[in-house]
Amino acid sequence: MAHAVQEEKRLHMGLPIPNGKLAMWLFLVTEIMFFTALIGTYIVLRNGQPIPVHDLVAGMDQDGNGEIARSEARGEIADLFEHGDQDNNGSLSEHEVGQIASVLSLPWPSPHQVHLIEWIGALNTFVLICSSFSVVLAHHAITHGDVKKTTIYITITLALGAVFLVVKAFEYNSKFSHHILPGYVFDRLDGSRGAQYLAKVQAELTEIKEHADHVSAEAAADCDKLLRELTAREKEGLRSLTPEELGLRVNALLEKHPDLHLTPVIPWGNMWASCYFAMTGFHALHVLGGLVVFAIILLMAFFGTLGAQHAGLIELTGLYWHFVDIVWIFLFPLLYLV
Amino acid sequence: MSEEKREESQEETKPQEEEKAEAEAHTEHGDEKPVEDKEAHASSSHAEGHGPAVGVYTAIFAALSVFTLLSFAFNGAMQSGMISAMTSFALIMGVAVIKACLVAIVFMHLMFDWKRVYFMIIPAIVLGLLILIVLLPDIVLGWKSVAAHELTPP
Repeated sequence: MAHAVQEEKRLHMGLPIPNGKLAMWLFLVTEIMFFTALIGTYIVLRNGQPIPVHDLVAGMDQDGNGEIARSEARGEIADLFEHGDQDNNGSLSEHEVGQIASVLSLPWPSPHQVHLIEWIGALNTFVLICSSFSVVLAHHAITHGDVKKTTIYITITLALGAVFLVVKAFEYNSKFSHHILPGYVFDRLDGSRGAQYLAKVQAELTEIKEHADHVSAEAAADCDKLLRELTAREKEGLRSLTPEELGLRVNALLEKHPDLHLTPVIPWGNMWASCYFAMTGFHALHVLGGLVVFAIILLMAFFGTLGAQHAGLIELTGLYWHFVDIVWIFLFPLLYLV
Repeated sequence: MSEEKREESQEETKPQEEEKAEAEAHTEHGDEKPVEDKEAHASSSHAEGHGPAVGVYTAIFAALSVFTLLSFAFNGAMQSGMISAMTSFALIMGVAVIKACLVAIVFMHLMFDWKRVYFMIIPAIVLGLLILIVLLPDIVLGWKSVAAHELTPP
């Protein structure tokens, strides 16, 4: 073992850092470029949409005319609801219309629309920060030759990383259950997609009607109203709802009763889902990789081979882990906050 | 283990002068003397700065936690309409950059290693920023075409 210690501090040809550290930093800079490419793609897709989301809200938020366009779109949506609600007086308040208009006008899904909960993201940020802290403490302990403390800190780090992944798994599960997956989101309703949307919402409304005791009385009444309208308009000689109109109605219903099992229209939802799963998925894989290394270190401690000669190993693992933390420090605000 | 031994014996066969010159180069870069016994290694590497005091780490950890809360608070202020979306974007991203720098400088020991690794980090960051910059026209021209098509009064 004494050989290994000497080897650690032996000088090499070339750069005045240990080969391991050089290799780790080279690896980390390729990782910097990898994640920059992912984040850059996200930024461009998010901001570079040349076509407005919805004909109703065309051109909003693009320049100084945004406010005018927004109020015009509000007027159009209000008209739509007045005409749509001829057979019952359930028209929406100005405030609600404004809310729908602002939701549909977004050129990108808001975190709220895609069921991202800010405090969960913040919690995960905090978990990773704690794990970064525990891994530097582990390195500090091993440079002082304290293997027992090192083992404790590495165990804490491993546990915190696992907590991060578990929270992530719950978040993914919520996305799956809301069908927020690439290709599954109804983000545009032209062509056959519109027909699919009409059929899907009708089925969902029927389902809610059949199990009306699962939802509040008000929500059940609202759903029933929409379902009757969907099916009965033809008989009364009114033109049937277009998929876009239905989408607005469903989004409005979900604003009022967020727990209903209805499929909303999410502008650019598929693109959002692709970006979200690519970025957080690759990040989660990096976390998983870190956990494997921590598990190996713990195995070494368990078999009694972990010692002061492994300060380098722990430092390099720490470097990697801090990098994973930094990536999340950027992903959290980009996905959950702004 | 056998490999390590082989490497070591190779190093021992190095000409004396070369090793001396190298050692000098290393002291210039703030490195310590090449061969140390186990205990000296542990303590001197600490003194040399392979780990600041636990107090420094704790302070950075506290700062990171506070900054996380701060970005959460900025978001809340934006949602309640106290600050504009643009302001909160700038504040939140500013906080993220500060947090990343704190982690890199203290936790990743760049406060000691910067002058030994900067030549790798700077090109990567420059190339990363370049990716974003060369993609910007895509965004801006996209806006322009929307402005031309949709926002011209009839």
